[in-house]
Amino acid sequence: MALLEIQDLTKQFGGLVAVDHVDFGINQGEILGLIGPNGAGKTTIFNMITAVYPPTAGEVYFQGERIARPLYTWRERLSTPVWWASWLPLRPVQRAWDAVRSRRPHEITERGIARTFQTIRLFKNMTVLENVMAGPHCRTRAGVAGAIFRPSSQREEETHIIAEAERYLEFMQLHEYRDELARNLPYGHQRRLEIARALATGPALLILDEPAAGLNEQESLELMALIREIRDSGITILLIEHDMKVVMGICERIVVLDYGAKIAAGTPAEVQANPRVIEAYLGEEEV
Amino acid sequence: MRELLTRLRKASSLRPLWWQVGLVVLSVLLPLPLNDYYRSVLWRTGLYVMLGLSLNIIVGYAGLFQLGHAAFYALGAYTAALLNLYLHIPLLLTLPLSVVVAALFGYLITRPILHLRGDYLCIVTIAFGEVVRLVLVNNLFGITGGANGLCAIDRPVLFGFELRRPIYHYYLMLIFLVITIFGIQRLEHSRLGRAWMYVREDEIAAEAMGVDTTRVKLLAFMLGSGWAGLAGALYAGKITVISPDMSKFMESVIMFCIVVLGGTGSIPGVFVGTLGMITLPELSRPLKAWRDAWLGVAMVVMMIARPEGLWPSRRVRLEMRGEKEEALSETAAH
Repeated sequence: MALLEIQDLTKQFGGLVAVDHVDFGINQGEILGLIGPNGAGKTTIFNMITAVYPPTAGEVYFQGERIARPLYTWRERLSTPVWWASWLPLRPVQRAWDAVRSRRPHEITERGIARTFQTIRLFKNMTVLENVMAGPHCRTRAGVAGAIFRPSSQREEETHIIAEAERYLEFMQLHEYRDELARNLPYGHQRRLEIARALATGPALLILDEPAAGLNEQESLELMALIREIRDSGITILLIEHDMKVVMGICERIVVLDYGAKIAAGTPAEVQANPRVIEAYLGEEEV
Repeated sequence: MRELLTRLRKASSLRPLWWQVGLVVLSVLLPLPLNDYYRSVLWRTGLYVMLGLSLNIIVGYAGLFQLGHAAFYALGAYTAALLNLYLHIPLLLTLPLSVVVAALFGYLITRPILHLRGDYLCIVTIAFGEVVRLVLVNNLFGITGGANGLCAIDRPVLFGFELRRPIYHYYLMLIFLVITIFGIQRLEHSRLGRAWMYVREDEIAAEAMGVDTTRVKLLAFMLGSGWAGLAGALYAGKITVISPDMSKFMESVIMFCIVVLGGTGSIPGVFVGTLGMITLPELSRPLKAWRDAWLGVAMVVMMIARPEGLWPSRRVRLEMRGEKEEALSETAAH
């Protein structure tokens, strides 16, 4: 059973088919690369996995649970008994409704999928440490009463959050910038900080959207080593990347998209030898 | 003026505890040499600081627009007054219920509109403020007294001692203010407070990091509305006469200005804002007559000269100034 299973995923924006009946799976512990020319629909797939928007058709399963499906039409809603009862604040009803409704992004993160963004989206005016402290948020529970009365459980939780955040800063070699504002970090460090923040959510699957964009050769090499290290610690990785050196260097399997459709899949060597891929993508690069 | 403020800000961040204790002692001693009129002005200042602080949770921390805050203030006052007049519940016991009712309305109103952003949210909250005012004017269920409002509300009674004179009300307000500030400071530096800041900074990233943005924003609205309800109930207890005018749009605007003028997200900022918006106009009659004009001028000057507010929080200052500097350095680079 694959960790993440994408089935027949389709997304239409008006008349434009951004993703066209794509299927693939990601196995536990592998590094899977998703490549394709600009506008091939890679980021759209990421956004559907992380519930930023729902697919037009198709489904995504994570650890056997369906995490993405098309929006319910009114007809479907009206013919679903659970939908009728979903407003009732009863636990069994809510649970039944939770099983069929579409997920929201924070629920996806809670289930163990973390992501970074193509354009860096840090909390710019907060410190590096505070940024990473966002990660453990979904694994902790303190609310209003905890904040005001500060019982020991809340204080323990708070130290746990800080310890956790510092651990990931250490891992991404950002610890010396702990109290620096995120906006003041150099670009390469900001990319690493985004990965640290995503790791701090405790994911089983890490989704990286062009992590090497804008990095120089040296930084890319360091990043590749880091990604391998993350994988070795037991986290499966799905990445979009334009830098062929990075993709071919670290991915064990590659899925190639063109105009929203999957045109090839396999090991880097197989993909590089595939004539359709060369035509669509690598061919242009080799000229 | 600016240097004075900067120096004060620095000094206050050096020894926070000393400053806090000093300020409380000062506020306790302050009304003693004054006459009843000035004591009432002080009470009024306290009232609006409390309203400002409650609105600050919504506008300052969570970064949401709320231009109908006076509606919750009025709802709190009417809850306290109705419970007191019809069920004869002592006023101090109605306080928690006022908080609950205002927070409940905060929940019901904002739940369906939370996904709206910025200006849209703003319009809906303005509309809500007006709806509340009109419902009260139209004498809902024949119990709200129409345009005249409600009168002869009991004064708060503490251990058989009726709070009659302004100074007692001032001290009651002071107690609640200390509790409010204590609570809000703790909220700010907690998991929830950080979540509000994540939402304000970048909602999409916050959601992707596992922050339930809907829940977090709802909590900000409920806490803010509930606390405005408390301020309303305290108002009903001192003035003993309330009217639908409490929910006027202008009231909401003044509260909003207090927060923005002082510096969004900053507790001392709310004090500075209240001094400018409430205390000064109260003390000088000409200024009061021209208050709305003064408010407009002050806001325009502020937005040009000091968009982050008079006493901003560190973060908002960075947001405002930092972005400007960034833009400048970018244009310099091109």
